[in-house]
Amino acid sequence: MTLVGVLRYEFLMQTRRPVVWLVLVLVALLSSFPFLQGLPTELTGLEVAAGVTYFMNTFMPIAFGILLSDRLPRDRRLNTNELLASFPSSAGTRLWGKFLGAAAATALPFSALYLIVAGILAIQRGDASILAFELPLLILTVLPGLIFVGTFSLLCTEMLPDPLYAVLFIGYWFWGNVVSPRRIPTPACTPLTPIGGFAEHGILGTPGGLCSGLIPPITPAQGWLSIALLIGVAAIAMLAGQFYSNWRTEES
Amino acid sequence: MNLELWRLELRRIGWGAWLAPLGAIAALGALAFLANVMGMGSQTDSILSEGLDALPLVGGIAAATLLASDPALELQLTLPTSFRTTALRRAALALAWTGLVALVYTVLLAATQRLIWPVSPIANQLIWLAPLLCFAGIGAVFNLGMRAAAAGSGITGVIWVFQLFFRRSLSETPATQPITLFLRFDPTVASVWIVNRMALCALAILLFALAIQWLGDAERLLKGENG
Repeated sequence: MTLVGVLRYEFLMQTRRPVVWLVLVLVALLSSFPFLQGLPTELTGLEVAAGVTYFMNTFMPIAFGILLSDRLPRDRRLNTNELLASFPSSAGTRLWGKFLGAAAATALPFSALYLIVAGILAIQRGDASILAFELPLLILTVLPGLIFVGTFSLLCTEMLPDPLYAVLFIGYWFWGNVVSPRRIPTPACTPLTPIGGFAEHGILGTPGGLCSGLIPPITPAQGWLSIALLIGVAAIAMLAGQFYSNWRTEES
Repeated sequence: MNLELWRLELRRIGWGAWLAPLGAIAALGALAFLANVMGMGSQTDSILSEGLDALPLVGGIAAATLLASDPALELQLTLPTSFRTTALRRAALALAWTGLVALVYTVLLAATQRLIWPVSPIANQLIWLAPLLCFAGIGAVFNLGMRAAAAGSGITGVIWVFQLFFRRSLSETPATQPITLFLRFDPTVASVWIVNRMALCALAILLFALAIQWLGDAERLLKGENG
């Protein structure tokens, strides 16, 4: 019950931040740059939806992560930690509530923008299947990456100053997800890549991508494994964060 | 007295701002070494040179954050030295440190002939200087304009990835060429690069002018962070 209360409070707090909506809309507009240049007419609905997901997912998770990374520093800056510690809920419960509430509130406009861009393209091209394909792409390839990115964005700022975390996270995102392994040693093209290529190519069978020709064709099982790994690693990190928060509260 | 204030701000800018530029160079150095070990030796110079693309992001976010926030803002606004002067002093220190690291790094890359887009010893410094000033300006404007550090860092980060991801396309489109932050020098059309660097410096001046204007607005500053 306490968890639901914290979750609800954090959700409302994040939803009412104008900056969440403004930043996400600006980044979505920037991500739409390739579509302004026009898309080839011969592309199928699935290929267009995959294109929308690929280009938007290259930039939007950066905004998602950064918008979550200031939640714990905010509590420290406003000195609300001491007040919250006097409540019956444990620090670990508050951490879970903060993550689930703030992540859900940021994911809401985030997902809506993907669907709006896909919807505009569906109307332009007279192909409703673009919107129909966008939904599974969003659930299977985008959301597991957001859980992964959101977890570390929330937890790492417990120890790092938020500008330093921002630099590390943006650098990691570009190096570990966007740059081809042909150019630089990178963890891209592994199941633990949050941009979601494994799930997209493995489960939904979209062609091409950054890893095309570099690794053998991805199987559906590898796609599901990638989703499980991303969510599993995030859950382990959250559990570690929960124990750390409880321990620190007991120590202080 | 003035020197004491500079010294005080030097201590206040935080270990993150000191370590980040060195960390970025060290990380790219480690990746270049790893590439060599993995048989990707032909990419080594490219990886090392791209350190000059990373430093503007690092310095830009550090400077923009220092420019727009202070835990004792109400106190700062009562002091004889205006908060605008103090904030600019901090940002200047963060930019100067990143600039110093970038300058030494560029000289070393050029001297060892590892810089893959050499211009001339002086003009080489514009490879990182123009984007550094632009990122600091973008970060400051979004930090102060939206009254949220997350907005400045987030938008700066997205623009950095966007500019690198679409670098080729932006460089080849006449409309976007002057504001392409990572335009590479081409000796056959040298003037394009010079015009681009000048345009970026002019854009940075405009962004800083707006940020400086907002820094003088006490009422706006006192509204605090937007959430």
